[in-house]
Amino acid sequence: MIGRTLLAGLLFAAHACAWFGTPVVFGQPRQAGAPGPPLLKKGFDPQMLGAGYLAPPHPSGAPVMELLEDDAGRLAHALNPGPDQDSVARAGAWAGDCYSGASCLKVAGLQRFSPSLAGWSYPVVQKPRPGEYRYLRFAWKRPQGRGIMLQIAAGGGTDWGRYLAGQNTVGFYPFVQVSPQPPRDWEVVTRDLFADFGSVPFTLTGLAFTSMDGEALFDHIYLGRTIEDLDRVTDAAKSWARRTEFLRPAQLDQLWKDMGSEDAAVRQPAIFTLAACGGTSVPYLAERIALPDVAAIDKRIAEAIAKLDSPRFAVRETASGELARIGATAGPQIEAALKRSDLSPEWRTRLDILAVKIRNADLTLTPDQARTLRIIHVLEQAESTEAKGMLIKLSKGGLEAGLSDEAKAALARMEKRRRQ
Amino acid sequence: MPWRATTIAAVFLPVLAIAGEKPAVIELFEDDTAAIIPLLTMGGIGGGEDVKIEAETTDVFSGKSALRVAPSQRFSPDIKDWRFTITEKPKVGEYRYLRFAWKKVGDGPLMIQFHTRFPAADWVIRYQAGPNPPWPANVVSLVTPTDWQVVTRDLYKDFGAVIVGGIALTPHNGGDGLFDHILLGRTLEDLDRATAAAVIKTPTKAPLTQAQLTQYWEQVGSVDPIVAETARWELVRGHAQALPFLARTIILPEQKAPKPVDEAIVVPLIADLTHYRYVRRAAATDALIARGPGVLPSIRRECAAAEGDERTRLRKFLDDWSAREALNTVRLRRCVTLLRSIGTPDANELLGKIENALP
Repeated sequence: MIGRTLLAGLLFAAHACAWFGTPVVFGQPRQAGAPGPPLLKKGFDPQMLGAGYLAPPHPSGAPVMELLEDDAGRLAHALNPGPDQDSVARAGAWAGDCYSGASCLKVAGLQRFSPSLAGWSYPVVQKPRPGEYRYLRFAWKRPQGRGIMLQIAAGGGTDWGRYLAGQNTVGFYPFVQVSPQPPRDWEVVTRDLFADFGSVPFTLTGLAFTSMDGEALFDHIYLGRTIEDLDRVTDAAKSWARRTEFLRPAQLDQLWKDMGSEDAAVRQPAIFTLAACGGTSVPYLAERIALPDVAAIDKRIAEAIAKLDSPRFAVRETASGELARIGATAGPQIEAALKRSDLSPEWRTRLDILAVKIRNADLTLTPDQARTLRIIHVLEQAESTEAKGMLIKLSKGGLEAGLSDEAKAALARMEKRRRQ
Repeated sequence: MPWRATTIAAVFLPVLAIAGEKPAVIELFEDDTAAIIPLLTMGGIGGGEDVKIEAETTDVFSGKSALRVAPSQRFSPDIKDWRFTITEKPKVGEYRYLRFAWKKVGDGPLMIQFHTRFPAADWVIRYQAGPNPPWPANVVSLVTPTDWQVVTRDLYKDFGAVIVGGIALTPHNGGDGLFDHILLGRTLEDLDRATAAAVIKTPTKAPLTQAQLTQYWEQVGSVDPIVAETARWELVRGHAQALPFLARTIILPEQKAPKPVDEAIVVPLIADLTHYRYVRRAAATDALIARGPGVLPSIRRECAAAEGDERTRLRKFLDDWSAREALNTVRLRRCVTLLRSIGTPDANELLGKIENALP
């Protein structure tokens, strides 16, 4: 028995060295539950890291996966959501300065993070097959202050890999220092995740954006199978930075199709192109987007809530699925329904499950919802009067998954930039 | 032709010095491993350990051989016939400057030491690459070189007037230290002639790629003298590719007033310098740089009228422009030295153009 324990201990230690590197030095105290020093005191389950547990390839098989480009507002909401988090750090979409697209993630304070974001389960391996990844690219900026850190959650937060530029004033160890100085202007960093964190496969499940003190900006975060794949996105962002041209109908059709791709190396160039060529793309998009009907969706939500109490199980299940798909847009009506006194136990349970899912800011979208969100991003980047007009229509409510709020936020950012 | 001493003989040149030829450059080591290895009789910290030292013939900076030393060191404080006077104003047979090439294979810092006979019999001279030297040393770089680096030091400035009588080659904390091309020179020009002769005789294994040429040219302007010098010698070594590259890359300072620019094109570009999206700012920056200094009056005018972040970004563009011009001048001056080392007719032609253009 002792022999077995010793063997297990040695196995833990071997994995620890591989992942953390040596020497491991513990830093300053940290807020409970926040990413920081590794959990060496407890040890960890090798099944969760390294050669043991590894998520299956992402079902899309996409060579490039977007982690952050223009969806900073929803991501910020999903980073350790809760009423008290603003006291630790504020996070949100920032319109004043971004690397690419229309906005970036701005974090002010210590850090915002989530060890396990909904839908994030990306295997990082040495030789990626479709749906597996090896390289990470991100852009960051620290206008003032001494350091900036991006932390990578592995295995649901069983541990964290860290990239640092500047000084490590938070004392989270160990880390990979990518630059001795913090990036005063936007800098793009490309890293080999597999090589940097011990050459063991792991599953990336979340991120921590650590500003340490003051403000830090993050943008353009992608996972790629190869660096060349990542370059396809970054090169597109650069090449469409000042270019604009008249898009022919066939080109628009192709870009519309590409915009629906799960491969960010196909989708993002299409978005950058459509945004740069707003003169032809905005009228095209206007013809294809179904404008929301607030009354109709309110009716759908009310009916679905009522059906949660149907005597037939299949009807109740379908209604739950419908409300889950409508997502945040159904939030106010679900919260209101929970206050009713005539709810059956199952009805209440189903409403509770939906309310928790919405409060936890689930980032997953249906393909149609994802396309609508991308159209909002194109319109925000296009910055034309026509684009603004479309955004006003989309912001009036009625889009699923709370996307009307996204349109409203995009409008607010456009307006703020116009004033500046 | 004092530099010929280095080219005539890949031998242990103190012999020449003793013979009375008094060369301007002394090769403490270039290729003659058979001569120097038996002289470094002591190994390890205490001197009594059996530490590996051998001829490295595959991975060399110049010539045919380098020295490969295992940790922690091989040395001798008192080498027969070594009595090299280091002084501020060297006369014939005296020296001031040290140049050597080194790299580390594996982790840990790298050190080279010289034992003196005057003013004290001690290891007075130490240079280290890497942090935390175990003994007092002049740290020339916080990073240990993983590829060959050329280090040139003013021994008199660093340690005063001394007489050198021994040497230690010291790779710390694991890994092998590789040492090559260890020279003492009366002047920097003398050392440059010796190094040029050595590297031109040791061509690159493959032609320099465009990426390598671009990288070395960037590094020639580095504020780190070791990085700049190493890059300079790599361009001399790969001069067959470097000369055409330099001819099309170098930007000579404008002798005349810049041509006026089309405001209709430039004004939107200037507006983009303050765009909220970085990639757009970067693209506008590149486009304005490509149009040359004619854009500067318009940008200065816009900057004077701007406020807040907009003014900060425009001012940054102007500051960066000035820094680039200064860097270009530094690189051109270093390029002059580089081209003199190459010394071919093509190099001399380019040299003439640069010298005429430099203020």
